[in-house]
Amino acid sequence: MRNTFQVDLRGIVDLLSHHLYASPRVYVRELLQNAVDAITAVGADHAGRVRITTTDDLIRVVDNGIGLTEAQVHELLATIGRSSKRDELGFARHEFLGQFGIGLLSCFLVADEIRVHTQQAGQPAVRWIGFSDGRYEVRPAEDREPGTEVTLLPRRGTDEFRTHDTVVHLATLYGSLLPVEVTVDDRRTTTGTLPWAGSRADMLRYGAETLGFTPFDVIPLSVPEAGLSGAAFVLPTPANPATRGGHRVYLKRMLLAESVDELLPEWAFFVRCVVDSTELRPTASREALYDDSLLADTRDAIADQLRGWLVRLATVDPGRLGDFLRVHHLGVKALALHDDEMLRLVEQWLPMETNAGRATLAELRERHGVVRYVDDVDQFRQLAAVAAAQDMVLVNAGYAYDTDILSRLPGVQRMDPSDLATRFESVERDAELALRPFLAAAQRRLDRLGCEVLLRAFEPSRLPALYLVSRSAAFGRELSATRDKVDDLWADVLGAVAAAVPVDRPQLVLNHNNPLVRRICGLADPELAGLAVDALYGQALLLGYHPIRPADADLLNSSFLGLLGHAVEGGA
Amino acid sequence: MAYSYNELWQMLGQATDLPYGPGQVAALEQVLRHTDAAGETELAFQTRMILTQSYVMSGEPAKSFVTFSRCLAEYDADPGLDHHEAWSWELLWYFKFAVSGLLKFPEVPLDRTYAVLDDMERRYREAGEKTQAVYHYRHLVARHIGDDDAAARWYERWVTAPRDDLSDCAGCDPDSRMAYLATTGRDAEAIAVGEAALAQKLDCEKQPQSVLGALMFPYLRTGRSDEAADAFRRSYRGAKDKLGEMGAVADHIEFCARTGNEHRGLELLERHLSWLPKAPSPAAVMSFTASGGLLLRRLTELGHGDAPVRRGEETVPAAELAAEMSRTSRELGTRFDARNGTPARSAAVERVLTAEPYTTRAISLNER
Repeated sequence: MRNTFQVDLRGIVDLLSHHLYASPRVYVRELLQNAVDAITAVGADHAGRVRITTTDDLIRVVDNGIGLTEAQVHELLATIGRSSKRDELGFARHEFLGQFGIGLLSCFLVADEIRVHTQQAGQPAVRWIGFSDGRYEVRPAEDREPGTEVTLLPRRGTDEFRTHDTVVHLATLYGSLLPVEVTVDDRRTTTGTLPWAGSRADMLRYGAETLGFTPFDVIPLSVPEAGLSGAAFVLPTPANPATRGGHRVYLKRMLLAESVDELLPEWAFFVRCVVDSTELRPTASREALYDDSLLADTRDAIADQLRGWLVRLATVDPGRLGDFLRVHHLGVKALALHDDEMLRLVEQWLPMETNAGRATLAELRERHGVVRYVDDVDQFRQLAAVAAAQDMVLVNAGYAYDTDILSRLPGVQRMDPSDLATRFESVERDAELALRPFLAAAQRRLDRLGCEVLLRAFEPSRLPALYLVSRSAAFGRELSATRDKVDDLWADVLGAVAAAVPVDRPQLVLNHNNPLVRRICGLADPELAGLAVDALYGQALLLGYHPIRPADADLLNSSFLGLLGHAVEGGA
Repeated sequence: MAYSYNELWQMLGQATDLPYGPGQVAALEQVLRHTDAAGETELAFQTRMILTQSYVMSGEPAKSFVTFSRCLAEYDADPGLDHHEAWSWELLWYFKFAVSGLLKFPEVPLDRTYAVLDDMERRYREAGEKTQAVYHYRHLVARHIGDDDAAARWYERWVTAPRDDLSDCAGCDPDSRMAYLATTGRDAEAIAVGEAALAQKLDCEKQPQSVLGALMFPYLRTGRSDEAADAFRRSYRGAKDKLGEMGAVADHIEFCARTGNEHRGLELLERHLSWLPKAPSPAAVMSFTASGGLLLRRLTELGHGDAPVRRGEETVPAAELAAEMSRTSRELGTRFDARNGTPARSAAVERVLTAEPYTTRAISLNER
């Protein structure tokens, strides 16, 4: 009997090769899957075996599975014939026959002709021959033992996919854990056991052999509702959070992919998992997991188990936790962004940089009550010493994630530079009032730089002046600079925004405890006093590691030359 | 302190890799100070572009107007520069942030938003008649001011226009459609649109939690309470740590208040009260205080008006906070209406404040 597909077979093959599969190599997996499904259909205690032979001009796969009847052969072809879209292929896969048919058709990725010789116990044997141009034949065949034999006749240009070495490699890669015996040219490619079923030493060795590293630790995983078991291997070296490495996922002991990243939440970049699941669903391509609520729940369950491992480590072996944190602090911090338990772990165990040495947040809180932080490294440099002189402990939260973590903790305050000035003592009333004329002149001088002048008394007294830019001052500066550059439409918008958002100016805080500042305040020569104010401003910028804008550089220059002029005249 | 070009470039790269949030904003602002000071105009432009998105996602949209308008002005002065051309697509994309952002500040006159929309349309057309998103955002403005006819008209133009590379993503575009469908009584359609969106692989900061959030109420109103609870859990999980999602969290609180989960709603409200002083926009405050007002009113009606609610160091009785939050939301509604010349925002606030539970029996929000 000669038949033709109801849809263009080339179309289906094209769909499979260009849109469904990443590489023709999946044909080995599909053949194995078909064989395993057929074996499973016989019954639980059936000792399944799959023999693959490769020769120069064909590949043959023989299984002792249930085999197909002639009616089933027709039906499976009709099932896939109806599938003209990727989604429908995925749907067709839910049934045994649809699955079988799609698996078979994937062989056209490497074959021009496929021959199937199959027999179910008590039924007549059938031979099916399919050609990649869309023709196929189904006819009675000679009896064989129950099961199926699939023979592929090569398609030109795909030789590399059919060599003995490649097939051994692919059969091992995809099918080494299968619960049946698979051989390629009489060489066994199945191990029969799950790697995490063995001892700890076995697992460490498996990590080194298969994943390429000797793990820091191995965490067993189990998610019963997904029929999932496996292990998470903790990387011994820092992992880059941005490159989220994938996990090796098996579905019913057939490899789905070596780098599935949907299995774990993003923060778990410090482990590589190897898992097998009976319930998670693959996408139509069988190369990724279908993102449904079971996957979401599984992700949560695995996340819980990783968290549990960390928390246990903190209680039973803090030293080892310290080792772990030295390598993976970024991962743990990333985790603490969303997770309260990890947040406590960070608080208790992770040392932070402060202006009083390194200490954990818990220690800081115990010693000082309130913990304050600044959110960039520059600000830390600017303020660390002055804050220390006010007995204020300051955490440098300028490293990745620190600011976000600290902002999640109660009793921790973000310190705005302008808060520091509020802690300085005021100058005695009459003394300050007497200095009003000088301060007013200094303010006029610095108006052009958008800076406010304050007089305070603070330690260390050797510091003549401090330049403080609050967040809203920085924003105010950006806003006013931008308003000069944009068109009328946006100038209006920014005007409205300025009215809605509080904006203040950077501050130059002169230190009345500093002897030089006191002398400058008393200068009779207004020009000299002005140059001195410019110089104090410039010095405060430099000392505080502030960026020097062109206007600042000009001012530094002119004040230096002006002061030099005065010095030369005074000396002459 | 001066850094070399390469150091600044590296700092920018590191800051860009950080997750959205105050840490990334601080790191980018630090880079910007140094690039400006060093006169590195090209790096400064790129930093402002990246900051624009970071401000929006981190919950400081007002600041994004400044960096965006600055980039736009620099771009227009010389569109042919390499670094301008390289970022021209993002610059167009950010117009959408600008339009939806401007709506959220009652201080910004409506005619300015229309002017930005017109500019957006001109530029999107020049880029190859990419009008799908333009219709979408015109629809959003019409919806915001309560112009139902215009909203319906623009909706039709929007959903029948072909998608292009400036359209909102495969999750956000349907998400926005669902909000409209749900408020016009088309729950079944909203569910269909949402479920179709979820069937795709969504790769967006806001998704899939935002689509799930938009599904909560339609599921609830069509009697699919298990799915509603599931959507609630999954969308809240995706939003709870993001200040930029304050409006979404307001929906979660309303959901609790209307499904017999007032106690759970109170837990959410307490957790997020600290967001109010640093809220992204007056619109976010309005949504949050309206939902909070509703929740606390429900608690009061249930006889728990004196239940203590933690707010920072102090504790406020629920009934007192109910009055305070309702007042705040109404005041903001009035300010928006004054700006818009329509009563739409106050009406929306009132609908939330006076809402009643959808169900007589409490819906379980626990994990199965």
